[in-house]
Amino acid sequence: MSIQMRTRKLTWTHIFSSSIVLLCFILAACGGDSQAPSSSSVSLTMWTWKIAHVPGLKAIAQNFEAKTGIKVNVTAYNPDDVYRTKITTAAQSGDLPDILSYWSSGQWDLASNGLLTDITDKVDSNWQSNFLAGTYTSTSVVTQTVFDSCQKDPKCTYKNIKVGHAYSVPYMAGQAMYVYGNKTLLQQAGLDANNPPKTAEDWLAMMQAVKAKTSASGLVTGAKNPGPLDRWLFRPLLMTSCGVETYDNIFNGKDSFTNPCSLRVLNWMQQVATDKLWVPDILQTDIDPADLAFSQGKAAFDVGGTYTLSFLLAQGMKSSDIISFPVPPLQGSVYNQLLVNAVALIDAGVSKDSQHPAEALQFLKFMTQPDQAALFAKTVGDLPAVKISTDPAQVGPVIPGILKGISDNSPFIQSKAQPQNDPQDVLEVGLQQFITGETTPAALAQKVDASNKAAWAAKGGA
Amino acid sequence: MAQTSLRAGQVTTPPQIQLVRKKYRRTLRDVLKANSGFLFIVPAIIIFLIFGLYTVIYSVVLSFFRWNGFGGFSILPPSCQYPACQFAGLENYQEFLYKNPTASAFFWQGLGNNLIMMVAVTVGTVVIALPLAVALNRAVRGQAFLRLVMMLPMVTAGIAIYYVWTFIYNSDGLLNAALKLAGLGVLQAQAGWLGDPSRALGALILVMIWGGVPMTVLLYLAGLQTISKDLYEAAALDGASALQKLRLIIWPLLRPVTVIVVILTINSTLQQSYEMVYLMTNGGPAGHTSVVGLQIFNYGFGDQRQLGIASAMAWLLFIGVFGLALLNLRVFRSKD
Repeated sequence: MSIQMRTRKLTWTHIFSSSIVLLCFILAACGGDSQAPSSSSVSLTMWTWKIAHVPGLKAIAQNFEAKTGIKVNVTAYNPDDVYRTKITTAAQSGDLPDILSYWSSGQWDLASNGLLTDITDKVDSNWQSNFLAGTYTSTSVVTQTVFDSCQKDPKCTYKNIKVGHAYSVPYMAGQAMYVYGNKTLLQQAGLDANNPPKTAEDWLAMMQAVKAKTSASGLVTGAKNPGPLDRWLFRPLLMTSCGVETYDNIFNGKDSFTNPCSLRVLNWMQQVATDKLWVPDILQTDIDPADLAFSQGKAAFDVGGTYTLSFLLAQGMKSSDIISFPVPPLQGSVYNQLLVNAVALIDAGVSKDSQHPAEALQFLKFMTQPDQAALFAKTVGDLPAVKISTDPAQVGPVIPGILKGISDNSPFIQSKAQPQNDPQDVLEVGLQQFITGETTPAALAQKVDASNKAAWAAKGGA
Repeated sequence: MAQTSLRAGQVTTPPQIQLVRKKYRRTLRDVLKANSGFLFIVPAIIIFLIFGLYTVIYSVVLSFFRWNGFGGFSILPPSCQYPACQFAGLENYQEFLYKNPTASAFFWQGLGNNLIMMVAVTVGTVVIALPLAVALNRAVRGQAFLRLVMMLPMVTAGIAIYYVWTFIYNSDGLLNAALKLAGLGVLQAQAGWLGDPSRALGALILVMIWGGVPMTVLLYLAGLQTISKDLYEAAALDGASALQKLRLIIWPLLRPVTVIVVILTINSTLQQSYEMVYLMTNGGPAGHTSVVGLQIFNYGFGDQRQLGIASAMAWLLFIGVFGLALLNLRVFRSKD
């Protein structure tokens, strides 16, 4: 073979092999789902971010399949930011699951973009009657308050949703503002371990006694996460101290955080810090580590929620060694006890990408029936957003106690407060600064007021 | 010229055209042969265009819009559907720079922390790494083992490092215990090193220096190999001390390496520090370790879903890093 022919052959070999390589890349990039849909059976997908809920949801899915022949695959993506990112990318590529779980009251952006199917007409009065008071109607249905607030806010991105419309149903509820006490430690400190404190001042005194007489600290919560100090401690104290009307006015910019009923709450929280009643390293302690520390006897009290008890029991604590009560009010408060309602925490809706919306809706209805919700509660130890039995045989040992503490008359159900993000951030950092000794109640109240005023001004006024 | 016998009706091509065609054919083949390599790099170019250039342009454009991330915005084809997407112009930049008092206070605090980290980590890394590299460059017994130990932080997963250091910094952790053992109990952090507002940032800076030293030692070691031994010998003959050799020979000759180290450290402290902060302190205690990267993460992937602001902040950070890198190059080059 002449040199010219050899060279020509080599050149064409180069070109040919390069083209093959390029074609492989293009085909790989354009490859789609290799699984062909079955024409004979319907299969649904459901996403959540709560790994702990997967066994409960799978148990419900099993019953659903036994009844209807429709299989439901439940997948969890964790942590929260990964789940949000997953939804964002799936929404762009049209790969959302049939049933999508989302944070209650956070689904309006999804709804306004058409990512969730409007199911207003499908959730009839019969279905609605399954839900706990203050869950479906407060957070799954667009209220006038939510609508008006969005219309006034130039930055709101869901202005096209309609009042009275629903795009999801709640399936998990709960409430924070619960305090768990270690009876053993309380007894060691010479305190009455069977009766909860009636006031926040009594509670403070108990913490001081435990600190003085045992090696444990008085209090723990997930203070590294700025939310607990604000939402689990400050807000319930503020509600009982001020009453629902003043509470709403303070957050909605019509009153001030320097109102005496608010200042005494801040004073109380500062005193917990100045008396050094928090566990060591409290600002490095997140929510689960805080519950863990409590279960290990490092603190007499743990501020948590309805979802905390199952975790404590899973760590080996005995329910007989735990006393639980809502956050007690300060002396002279408007309400002499805190009534805690169940708040919807997780909703589920049918996504726009579902190939089987009717079946997906059928599953939603099935999972929010009392018997299936009871199964969920028994399996995962969390409170469903559905009215269920209090029989431990049906719902497990944890739920009856929680249900006993839930009230339909909680002031939080009537509350129309709309805490804004910016003043919330300032408040949360400020509550941490009580622990670091960098601020005072008066200074913090003024700072939060200034931020609240600016936030409401940007939205067109309080 | 060769005579060609013609059949009746056959059309002949003039010789000049034949020559041009022949030349054209040769050139085309040559072009193909010379450029066949491009076909091999086309996949990489496609990947760069899609995942590199396109995403960069997307991010720039997004910084001028308000968008919640759920559909309604794209640049190919251009689309911004109200109300999910709204054109904001420079408002996103203004929001965190000065317009929103709360957001801007947090932003400037974060930026301040970033700048402190940048200076402290850069100086600390160079000051520790250079003498270490010089020491490791000597032929001593166990040199290979020492080098191996030195490189351990580089091969350990970041998350593991952060969690271990968090335990070390606890109030009952290794650091406080070591201080107590050494009779320096007065230096202990009673609230934990990461819970003490006056020490938390310094604690994180120490972790960054600890993590950055191995790579820097490696770079300096490579640079040290390029320095001729004659220079050391000449300096020794002139009676130079070890410190003088370091200052007058090694430091000037390793300036190009130092430029690279400074640029890399600036980039890591300004842009990559958020991972460590997120895992170790989440910006606490009370915002004392908050950095711009963490705020970008919270704006973009937190529950606020303000991707436009996140993009705007990210671009501002990039411009800052780029500017500092250019300044660094100019400063070091001016000394050459």
